Amino acid sequence: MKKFETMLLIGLSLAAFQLHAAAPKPADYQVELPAAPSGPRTFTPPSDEQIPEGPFGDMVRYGRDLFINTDQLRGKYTNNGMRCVNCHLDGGRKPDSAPLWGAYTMYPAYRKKTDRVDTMEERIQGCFMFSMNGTPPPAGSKELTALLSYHHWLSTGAPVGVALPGRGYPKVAKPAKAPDAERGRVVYEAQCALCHGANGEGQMANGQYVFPPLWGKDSYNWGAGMHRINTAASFIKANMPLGKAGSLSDQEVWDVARFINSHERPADPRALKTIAETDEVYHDENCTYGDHVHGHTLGKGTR
Amino acid sequence: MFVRKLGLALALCGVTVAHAADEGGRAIVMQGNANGATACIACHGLDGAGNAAANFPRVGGMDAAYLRKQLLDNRNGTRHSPIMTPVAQALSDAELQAVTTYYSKQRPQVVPVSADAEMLAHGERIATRGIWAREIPACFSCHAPGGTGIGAFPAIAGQHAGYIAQQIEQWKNGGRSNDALGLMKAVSDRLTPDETAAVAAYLASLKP
Repeated sequence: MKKFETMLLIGLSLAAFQLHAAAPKPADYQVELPAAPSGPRTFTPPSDEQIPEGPFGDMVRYGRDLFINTDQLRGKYTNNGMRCVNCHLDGGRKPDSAPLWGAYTMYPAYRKKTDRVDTMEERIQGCFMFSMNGTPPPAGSKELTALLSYHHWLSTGAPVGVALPGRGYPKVAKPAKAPDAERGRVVYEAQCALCHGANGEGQMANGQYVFPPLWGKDSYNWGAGMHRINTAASFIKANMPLGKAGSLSDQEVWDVARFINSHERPADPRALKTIAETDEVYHDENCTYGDHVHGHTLGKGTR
Repeated sequence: MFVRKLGLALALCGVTVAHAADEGGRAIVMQGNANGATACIACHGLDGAGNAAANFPRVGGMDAAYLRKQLLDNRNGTRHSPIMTPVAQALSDAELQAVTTYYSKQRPQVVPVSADAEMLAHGERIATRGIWAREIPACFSCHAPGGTGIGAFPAIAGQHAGYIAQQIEQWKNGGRSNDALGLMKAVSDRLTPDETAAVAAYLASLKP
């Protein structure tokens, strides 16, 4: 019997090896940077009035403008209706809204998503590729330098390499009941549709989105952090509805995050040959990619 | 040929009906009705410019659905007003529809009102950036850039300062509770009197 077990082990190893060779190894990125310590915030970014005069200050101001009025890059570096400030409120200052000062001081960092040490520039480029569904501005471009300068300036005085209270989105523990899109739909209609529209389409004024689209062709793509149910739940709990942060229960934010992220959106730019393969490599946890919803396999992408 | 004539006749009918509704709205605006609704022009003017000194809001050019909802809420008490509640109760549903449609089509000549420069700068900051340290979002994040209004969120640019300040006070004290999701209640509770005055002055200084 021992011999059989050994052979079985060899066989399994071979099978595993073949699987391994056939597809890139799973790169699901649910290993994250250090979480924010709880407690009162210890860092306050400088106010805009303190942006210095001169070439550096000009670059900071340009970066701030790109961050808030990101539409100006549409067609060049972005390809949807999202703006940086949709996910990083108050121009990237607000604690618990992935503030820039909480991120800047943590890079370079190893990220499971890319399986390498990423610099801050590369992290910002990732936002362009996924959240903005675009083509990132290249290193050395004025746009990327401006955004990086704004990050740097907002972090003036912050300790380097220390996770600060308020960084990222505060994690919301998994609720008692498994997240359910149908319960989430009820929450969405009552709490979200007023601004984001009955079909998640957002709302526009004068040709620009005032309220961002949450799914569909103008929203973040299947590779964006926000397509993760846990990430969206954390963002929603700490920031939505605007001005009423914390008003939804843990169960409600998980349910509504699942509902929002159970709709088709622009394709994952890392997509492999099939949805099943992409699902296995990149979408292991906390997302609906590859799920069958109302006769549709999620992940094909919008046109 | 017959079909074309019929189409033309129906189109003309449509125009006539729409015209009649406009006329109906204008008549009520000018004269009120037999059930005791007073003439709207007494306070809001024929073009809906309102009256800054008396805190009568500009209604001309506002979104028709928004105006309709406000009158219905005057009726049901979620927007209590000693002046408007009896008026809204004296209007039939059809009359209410007619007057709100009429005013939504007006383009009053509203003259933006200037104020102290420091106060305007303070107000502009609140309207465009908010005061996030106290969880106050920018006005324009919901009322659209420039305060021009979007969806259920009414236009606030060019609205009279006194009226805006009065409404914020109404949300604070519960006289008005018809805001979706309690969003304006949440914001109003956090605004200080100085901030309210500054943001109201800034909004009144904008072109509608």
